Amino acid sequence: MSLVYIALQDNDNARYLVDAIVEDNPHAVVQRQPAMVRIEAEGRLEIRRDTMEQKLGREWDVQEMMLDVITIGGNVDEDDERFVLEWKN
Amino acid sequence: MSIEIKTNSVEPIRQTFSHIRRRFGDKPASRYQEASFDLEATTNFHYRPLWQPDKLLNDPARTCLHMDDWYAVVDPRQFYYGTYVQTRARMQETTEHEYSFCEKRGLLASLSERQRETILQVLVPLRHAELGANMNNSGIAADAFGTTVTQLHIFHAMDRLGIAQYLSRIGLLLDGGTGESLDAARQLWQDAPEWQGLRRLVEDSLVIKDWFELTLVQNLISDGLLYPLIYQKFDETLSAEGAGAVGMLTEFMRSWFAETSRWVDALVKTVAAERAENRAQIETWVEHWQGRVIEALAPLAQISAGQDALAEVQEQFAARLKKLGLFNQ
Repeated sequence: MSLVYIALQDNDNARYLVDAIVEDNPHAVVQRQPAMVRIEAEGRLEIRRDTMEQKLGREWDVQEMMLDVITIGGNVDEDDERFVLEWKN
Repeated sequence: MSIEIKTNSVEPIRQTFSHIRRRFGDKPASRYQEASFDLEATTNFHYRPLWQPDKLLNDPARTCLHMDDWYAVVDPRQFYYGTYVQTRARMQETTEHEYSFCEKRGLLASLSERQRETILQVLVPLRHAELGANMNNSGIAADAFGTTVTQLHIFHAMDRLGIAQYLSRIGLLLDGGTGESLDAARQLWQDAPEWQGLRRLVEDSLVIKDWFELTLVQNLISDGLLYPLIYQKFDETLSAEGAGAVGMLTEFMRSWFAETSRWVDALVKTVAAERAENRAQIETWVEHWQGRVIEALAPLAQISAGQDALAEVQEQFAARLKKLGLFNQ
């Protein structure tokens, strides 16, 4: 299996995102680095809109996460409900 | 010469304030947490208030309900001053735009005389009920315990003033800015038989001592029945008659009601779930006041959306109560 990853800026916004990712992806590993949070996961990583909305208490557009993303690794599969990272080859 | 780039990581000595750390652990806290939890003073008051010497200045005993921790009540929208103001500013910008559009295009001029009369009779006098709601929520913010609870109510109080102003502006749009409609609405509020039920309800609610009873009466029961009746059912009636433009002017109230119902639900659900005694007391209060509210709204339904609409609203409200864990046994 291969590793997918996403790195986010460590700010007030992204903290909710990290919480949501950890909840939806129990296998994900969170690394806290200076000013950045890197999340790695075996195989697949998913960000779900409904979990984020629950955490934030407001409506949330999946593309809002782009504001806090530094880098990603993996093939992206994105729709209105989720943002999925996985290696498809 | 080669340059070596190194990262040096500095661990902050504290992640957050001590009182937030004690509650949530030593990790970065959200703004909502830092601006809401454990802020209200609980100890070391020098004097008891002269106006209520049997209680402390901030005293959880101003309601007969018991919570081990009132901070268990949280705002699902996570509003603190900053986010609240930003959200309302955005909503107000949209609403201002709609009012000026309505005015510029003279959309209310196309209303028939009867429709105009109905709107003046139904919507504009409600500004007095909104002022009552403002006073009630300010009072709750003073009496309630726990910043997460009090800030919900003081934001709500400010919202009610805003809504009263929008209702007044509907009147001013209809009377050409003379203010006659406001005087007429005041007369209706004071004298018209169909308004006396609601007026009595508002005036009775102003003297409810227990703040939790008051928030139930005002924010759950009264608003929970009045808003769907007037701003949804009556709006549908107007739209069906071709007066849909009025819907632009009341859109704020609809989206506001949908948004704020969420915290009212969260408050009631949390407190009712904490102890059986709480739930029983809440059910008693709801039973008592629901009848009063429906009695007060019946004559208003008659001149707005009709009795069938009120019955439908009641049904929806019963379903809402069930979802909150009330009347399930």
